[in-house]
Amino acid sequence: MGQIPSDAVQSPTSYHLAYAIIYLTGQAGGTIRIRLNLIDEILGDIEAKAERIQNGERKREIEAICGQLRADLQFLWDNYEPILDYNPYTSGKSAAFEGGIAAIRTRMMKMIEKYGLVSREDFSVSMPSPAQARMAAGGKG
Amino acid sequence: MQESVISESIRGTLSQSVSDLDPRLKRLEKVDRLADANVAQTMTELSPNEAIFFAALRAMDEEQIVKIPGTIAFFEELQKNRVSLDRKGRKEYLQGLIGSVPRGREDIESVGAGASLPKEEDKPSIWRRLQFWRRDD
Repeated sequence: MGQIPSDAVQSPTSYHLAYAIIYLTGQAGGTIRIRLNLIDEILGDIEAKAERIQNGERKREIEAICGQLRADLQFLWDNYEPILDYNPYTSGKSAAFEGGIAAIRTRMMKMIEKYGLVSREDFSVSMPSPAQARMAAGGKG
Repeated sequence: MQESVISESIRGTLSQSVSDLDPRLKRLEKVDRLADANVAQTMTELSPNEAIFFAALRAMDEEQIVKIPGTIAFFEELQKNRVSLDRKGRKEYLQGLIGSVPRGREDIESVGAGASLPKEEDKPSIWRRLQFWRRDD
């Protein structure tokens, strides 16, 4: 098992955050509406985690990034149209949405990685690695 | 202050509405042209002789060969009143609105307003009556 970083922000929402990230990965190519909702979930978890951070400077950094990401996400919601999810003739705008979603997701993942918001253990519960699966089966890993 | 992660080019594309591209909406727009505000032209039904006759009279009026505003007004009113003749124009409009009708032999107007028109029951033929061993599905 990996070590939790010394400055990691572990909290009850860690598992939920890890699960939402894995579920978002599983929704690759899915509807824009579902992915926007999942990004909303992930961002909400990160914002909740920021409440637990004692270090003022780190807390301000995370809150500043989250504030901008929240504005970007709101921009995507404001321009979302249900037809994007079922009409192939809207591919131009759908592609722009993919770009926007990817940019927000990448920024969130960088933040999660930098500030240690999710541990390897949180991911392991939802998504066991092959090595862990072998260990659970009595193998050497 | 953090910078937005969404580029300006993406923002420009996202700001455009695409709901107008809905094929169902496009179809309804085309159907609307069949019965637009100028009903006297789109849904009237003139016979070929009437059409030629009216056109000749209108041409004479416009060229001031014979000034007949009363006759022209009469024809225009007649065109409006001819809208329901044989209901061909209305059938076209309803077919466009409803889409294709299953089996093709049903009255389109009764499909659009099922409750308003009683559906005729199929009368079994004598040969069909004689086939008493056949079960009706």
